[in-house]
Amino acid sequence: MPVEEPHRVVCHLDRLLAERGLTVTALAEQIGVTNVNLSVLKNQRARAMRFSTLTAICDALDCQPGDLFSVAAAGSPPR
Amino acid sequence: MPVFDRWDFLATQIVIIGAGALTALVTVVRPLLAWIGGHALEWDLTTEDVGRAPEGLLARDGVTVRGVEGVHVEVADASTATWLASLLPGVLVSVTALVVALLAVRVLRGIQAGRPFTPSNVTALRSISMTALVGVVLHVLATSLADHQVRAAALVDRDDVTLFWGEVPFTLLGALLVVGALAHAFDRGLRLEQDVEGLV
Repeated sequence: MPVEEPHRVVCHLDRLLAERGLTVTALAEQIGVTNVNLSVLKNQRARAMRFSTLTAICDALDCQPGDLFSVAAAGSPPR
Repeated sequence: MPVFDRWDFLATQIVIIGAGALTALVTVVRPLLAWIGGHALEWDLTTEDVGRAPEGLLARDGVTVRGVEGVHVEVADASTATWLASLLPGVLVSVTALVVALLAVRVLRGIQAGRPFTPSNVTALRSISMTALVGVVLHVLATSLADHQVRAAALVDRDDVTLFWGEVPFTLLGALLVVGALAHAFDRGLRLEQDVEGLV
């Protein structure tokens, strides 16, 4: 089994999608990433991300990486 | 989705298991039946006497010595200890072959199921390598012991013990190294697969 390394990075993809009235499926089709992979990202289960995926999401949602991710305060439960 | 063709995979499994079973049949069952049937114990001496004229060897009563390239002896009234010693190398080869065959089938099934890089496969490959290596060493010791026992029963004044490392084929040792390297490669594959899990 993979060794889970704890982190405090939080993904705000669900909020960005809601604000734009988009679904995971629609975004996945738009940027050419699988629905499953985007769901992993949205549900905070991703452990790493390709710059190409990040670029595609930022282009599609017209946002910056900082809008998509934030780091939770120290002391908050690790993911 | 299966990796190998269904029939190829089935045939490969049958060949692997069949080879293990055949090894047991030839090296254990056949001599065991000869013993039970009251036949003479047949043995090819792997000693420094190989290549020498068998006429120069003084046989005990009831023992036939024939030489073609080596020295073939038939002991008519071999003792239980001699029979057991002569069976030991075959038992070791059979057990090793069967264990290796079962482990190899396990690895192939993992690959066929689309999961080659699993801890189970890495362990199986390492076990194949170690089992075969230990089997080779034990086989050399058992063969030497058996040869000593049969020689003492068959020939006069010939009961010295010799280890027969020359009997170990280099191809087998090479194959063990390849399997060991394969285990290392699978272990690396397992780590890489774990690294990309969760990558978006």
